[in-house]
Amino acid sequence: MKFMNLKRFASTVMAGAMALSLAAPAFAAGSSTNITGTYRAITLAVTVPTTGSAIINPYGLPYELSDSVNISGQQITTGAPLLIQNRSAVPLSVSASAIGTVKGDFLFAATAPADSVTTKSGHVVVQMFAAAGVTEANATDTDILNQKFAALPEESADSSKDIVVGTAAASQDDILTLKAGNANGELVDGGAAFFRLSGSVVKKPTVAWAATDGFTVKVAFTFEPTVMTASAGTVDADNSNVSLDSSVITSESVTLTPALPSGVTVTDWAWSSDNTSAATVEVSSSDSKKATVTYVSSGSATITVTGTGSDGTVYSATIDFTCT
Amino acid sequence: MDSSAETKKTPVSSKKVIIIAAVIIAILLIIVIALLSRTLLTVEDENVPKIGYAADAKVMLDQDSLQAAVDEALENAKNGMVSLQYQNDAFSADGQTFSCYIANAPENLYDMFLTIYADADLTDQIFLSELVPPGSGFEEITLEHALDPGDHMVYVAVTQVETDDETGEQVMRNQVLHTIEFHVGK
Repeated sequence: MKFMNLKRFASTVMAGAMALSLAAPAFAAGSSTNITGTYRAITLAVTVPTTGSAIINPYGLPYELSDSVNISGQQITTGAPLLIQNRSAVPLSVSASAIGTVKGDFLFAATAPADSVTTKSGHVVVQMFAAAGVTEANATDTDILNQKFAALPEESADSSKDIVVGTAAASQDDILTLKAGNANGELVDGGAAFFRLSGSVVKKPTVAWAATDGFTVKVAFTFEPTVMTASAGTVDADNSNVSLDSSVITSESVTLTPALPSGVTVTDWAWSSDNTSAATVEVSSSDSKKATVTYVSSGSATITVTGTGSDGTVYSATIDFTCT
Repeated sequence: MDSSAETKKTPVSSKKVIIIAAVIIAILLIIVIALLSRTLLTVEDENVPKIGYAADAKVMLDQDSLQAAVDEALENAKNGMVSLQYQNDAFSADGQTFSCYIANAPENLYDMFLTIYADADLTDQIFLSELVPPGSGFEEITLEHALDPGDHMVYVAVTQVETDDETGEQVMRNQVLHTIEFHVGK
């Protein structure tokens, strides 16, 4: 038998080798993927007001912010509305620290001075309030800002977040959250907050208040990117049973009644238990607003339902169960 | 005949003049004495308030003064907003030179300078910049002294300065404070 022509054989081998060499990159591309990750720092764009001297008004005398807007009863005031505005591309959690400097005979008090106090003492706090309805269109409209500022309640929504001012720095974390600006970097509703100095002073100290008495406060803001959260509505037990046991009532159906802002939708809701040793929760296959909570063992569990809204806000609601 | 008419007009006698003068003087004396007596009474009577103070002194901040202070605050607030443009984190390998991003936002009216403190009480100054016009900023800064390895919250005071174009006089306008996390590699 005649062996294949050596030249042909060599050519075949060479051709095969060349074909394989061309195929190698294709094989390599198909079996591995290169991913390049790049850290992109977020640039914050916020507007804050300068802070400085406050006005001591021992008798809570009324004063005008404008012809139609009056404020009365405030013993400590900054006078003008002070507004923080977020135009960043992300929501921001606002924290702050404050440090005060006294003038004249003023003394900072840790708590509201009792009626028996006769020194020139004052309990000063920094408070923040969501500035609902303030947008790019009206953020510099003093008439609108004055009205909203004058309508602020005496107490903040969560007084535990107030910063008590003294000569040493004091701080509070996560006081409130500001919504991100829109695609054009403009202020949107929920992206602004008022802050003010408030508090109480001794009305009639032994030595009368003088114009030289007072204080200044420096407030340092900390803005951190965060996720907007809000209440999803209410979660109720369908049969009103929030107590489960091992034999009689071993499970209960729960339903979320959403209360979302107008125009906001949530496609899917997710359910979770913070103590699966006590109770578990399983979402309904037909309606994600419904779930079933099942007894596991004695203990307590908070059942949470969460969903991301079309506006980017994370909405959630909870219901507590006791397992015996 | 004229001389007799003149003789008949008897001039006011000296006596009358003296009496009138005496009466006037007496009246004046009474007035002076009365005034002096009131002064003496004020000094000696402890129940009468001393000059400048009253037992029921009113508060110095009356309605007009209060409103004037509020009006000034409102006026100051109009130009008291400062736009911040920065990144929340800065990084350093040696604790002294940091890569960062802190800018004077273009919409601000004034130049700014930065003062950075390592503590919340604003006593440990670690950086002081020169003036930066709107639209410019820092991508790298070198501190006055190095920070230890780890994470540090620093306090950035942004002070706006207005410069008079004609005289060159510089006046500080507004100042705001915010924090940044400085990270020093371990």
